[in-house]
Amino acid sequence: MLVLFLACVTPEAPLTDEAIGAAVDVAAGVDSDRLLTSIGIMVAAHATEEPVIVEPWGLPHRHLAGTERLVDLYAELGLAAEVEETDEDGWLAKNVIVELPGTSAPDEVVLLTAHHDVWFTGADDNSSGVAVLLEAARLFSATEHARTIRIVSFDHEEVGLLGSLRYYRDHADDDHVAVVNMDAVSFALHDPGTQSAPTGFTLPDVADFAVALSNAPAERPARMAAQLAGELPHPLKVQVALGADDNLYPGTGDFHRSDHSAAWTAGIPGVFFSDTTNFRSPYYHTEDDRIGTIDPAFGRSVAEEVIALVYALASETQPVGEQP
Amino acid sequence: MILAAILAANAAPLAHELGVGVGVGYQGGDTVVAGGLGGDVAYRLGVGDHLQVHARVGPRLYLAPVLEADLGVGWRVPFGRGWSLTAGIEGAAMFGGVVRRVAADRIDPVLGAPWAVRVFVDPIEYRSGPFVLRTLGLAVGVGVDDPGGSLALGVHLFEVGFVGGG
Repeated sequence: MLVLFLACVTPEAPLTDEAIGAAVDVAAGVDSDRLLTSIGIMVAAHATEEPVIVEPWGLPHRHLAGTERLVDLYAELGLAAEVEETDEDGWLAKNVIVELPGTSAPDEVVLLTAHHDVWFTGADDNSSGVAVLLEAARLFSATEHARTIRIVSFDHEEVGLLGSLRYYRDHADDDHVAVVNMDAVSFALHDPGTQSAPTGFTLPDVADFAVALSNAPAERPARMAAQLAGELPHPLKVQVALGADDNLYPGTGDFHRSDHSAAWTAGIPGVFFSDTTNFRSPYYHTEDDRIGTIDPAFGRSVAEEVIALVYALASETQPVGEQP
Repeated sequence: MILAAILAANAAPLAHELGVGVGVGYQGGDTVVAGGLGGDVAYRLGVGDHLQVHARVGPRLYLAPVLEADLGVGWRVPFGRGWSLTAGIEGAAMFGGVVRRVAADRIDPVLGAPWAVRVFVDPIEYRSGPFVLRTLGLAVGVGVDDPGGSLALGVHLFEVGFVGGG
């Protein structure tokens, strides 16, 4: 009887073979050379800017040169990026937005986000995420998708999620059906003993996987991520945590440490991808977070995963929590 | 049923105890993570001098809020004037804010409240009149319904109880 009960409540696989195939086809277009080049360009752009030492961290922060360079990179792809500025409390934030309209449900928006401000020159954190935004924009602009895909690079994540908090406040009336956020997605190590974990969580010993964290409304997108990871052209090892309530992990801060937190707080289904930053990287928030530390193969797999997931979400029209 | 049989066979005196305490509960592994720190309300039924059944419930806060419920049976061993220890076995279940984990080869999450079997020891119990003080209780076990395997822990920092006869 118990077995029968469990069988009845076991959820269906979230994606059909057809949906997986379509998403993986788009992800197959990820060009690892372009990813690495984009990271290098963003790092070089940051290096041209005189940093501001921000307290209480006491670290050099940069964002303006990266903002301008990112707009240029979108223009090179033939895409017009909008820079959405807010100037409050002494912080001028410039979010960079590219919108790719959907075909049959254009009012429904799937967000793909990262942040472009950095400490030092930030290769992994977070030029790697910005590089995936650029690659996604290139690939999605050549595809049709039912929902609108909005690609947003937030400013001032490092100093308190300022760009994303303002974005979700100012776009509260938009129909955000889901968000996929990235922060530091291209650092990996391949030796045992290289990975640690937040208190209470267990993670594999070798730091060659990504994590994907979801809030409760994003359970199905998170399961989609797990399903897609093994089907990619370059399969990704991913540890997926499904949220326990609408605003996941209130008791620990470790899982709210990027812009997805602003989305979760706004009640939007969100999945957050990361290489776990300080739980593996000795270069986290140091001047040594440089292009030479990037793992191109790992970064490519994460990019494929993220792009496949966003495409799958944008290709559907039913609520993200429901099976098609 | 077993308890009823014991009672019938021995007609042992009963002692009811109500207590409050503070503890940590945790179950975590490849498929579920839940737990945290919180208060407890406990009921204990003493049967004779040694047998003790307990039921305990309390919130746990670290990740998302979760309610832990324990049910166990133990053997109490007096070792001095007013002092004793109790050891036994208990089941512990987590309701509510459980974080599920999935992977490419395991996309379906474990559903329902995860539960574990734990062995426990309350090494320091002191009784004075109707009052009982326990501290540094420890429970260690494994998740029962977690195919990935999980570790279950309980640490009962202290508990104050009031005993009435039955």
